[in-house]
Amino acid sequence: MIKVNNLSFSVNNKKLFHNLSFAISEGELIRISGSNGSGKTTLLKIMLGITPPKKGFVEKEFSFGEKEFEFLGHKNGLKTYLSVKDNLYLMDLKLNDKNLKVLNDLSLLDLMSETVGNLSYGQQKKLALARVILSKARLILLDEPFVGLDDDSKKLLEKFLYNHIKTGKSAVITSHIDIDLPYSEICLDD
Amino acid sequence: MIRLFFKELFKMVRQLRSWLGPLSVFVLILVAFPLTQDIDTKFSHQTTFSFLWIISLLVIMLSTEKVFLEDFDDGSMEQHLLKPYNFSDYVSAKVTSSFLLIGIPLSCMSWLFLQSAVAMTNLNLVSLLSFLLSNFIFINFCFFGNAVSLKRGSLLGLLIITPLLFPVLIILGKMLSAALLGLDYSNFLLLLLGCSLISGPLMPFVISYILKIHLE
Repeated sequence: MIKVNNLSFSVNNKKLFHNLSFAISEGELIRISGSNGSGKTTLLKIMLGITPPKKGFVEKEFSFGEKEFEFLGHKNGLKTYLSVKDNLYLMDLKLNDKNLKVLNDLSLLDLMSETVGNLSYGQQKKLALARVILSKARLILLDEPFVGLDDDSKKLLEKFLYNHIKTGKSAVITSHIDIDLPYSEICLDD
Repeated sequence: MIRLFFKELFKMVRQLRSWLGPLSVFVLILVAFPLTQDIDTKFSHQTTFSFLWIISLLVIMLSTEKVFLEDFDDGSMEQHLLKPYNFSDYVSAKVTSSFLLIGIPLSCMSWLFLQSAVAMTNLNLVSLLSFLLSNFIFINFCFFGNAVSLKRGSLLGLLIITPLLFPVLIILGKMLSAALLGLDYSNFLLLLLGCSLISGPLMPFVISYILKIHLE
């Protein structure tokens, strides 16, 4: 699905990673770990094509017509002056039974008319995660997705990731928090 | 593209301060300007036009001040970059929304003020057209300035684009002079139309490229 070949990146002559190579195959969960400033977010951005690498390249293989990625970074991408429902509309998400169930599981269904600015950090995070959960992307990339989530929401996200991988799709996450899922690890501190 | 435009329009409509605020400032200035004059003062055509162009430019600068900053700060710009449509479409949708909600109302209000201040029955259509075209160009350049100075404050952007807009203001002034002297002003109007036709499709590509650099 994605092949990372000899990727190198440095900031102000400080090497973040050097000659990094790995592949993400279908049905695989990859966890990128490393200390603060080790380049986890940068690696995600290089894989997405937002940041160009200093050296190396990323090969992507997707079937025609498939929705390739869904990405959630440190910033949620939510409009705080709009309601939860309006934010879902901006994300092209329809309120069908299946999606309503996910929103209900995330305790967001009762907050549909609430302005996002009035929600807590955790609720905003859950809304942003709902966009990823409800999308049909082949590969999802999440940057510290468990930060700000309560135990129930963390378990729900783990359950979603498990189901996502089981259907042959893939995920890449960066996380400091331990997760209860089978994953391959890429440590940037090595 | 149309769907994207409606989404940007929806966001802008819901954020009243981004367009209703600057339009209110414009109205207040239009009200305040005659109050500084004697009651029997006759406004000259040249002064009134210049006043309206400059004040329109300032109001557009004010309204587009944070046009990209909000999306950049909340992370939605990053997400637009990953969507299947062209990133320049996102910029075009923003420009079009701003022109609809700010450019067109400003042009209409300028034209109405012009009618009340100086009667120009022979130049009705041309004056409206000049306001529409100049405001469209101003919006495109203000977007460009804000994209350039995204992380460094809007003042830098304004300092960059203001000299770039001098030729447009000169063309507008020359067009008016020609019209008042009864000369053929169509060349100047065509020049203005040409500027709009070039900046309209070209600016979104330039701006999207600049924004991509910021996102890196």
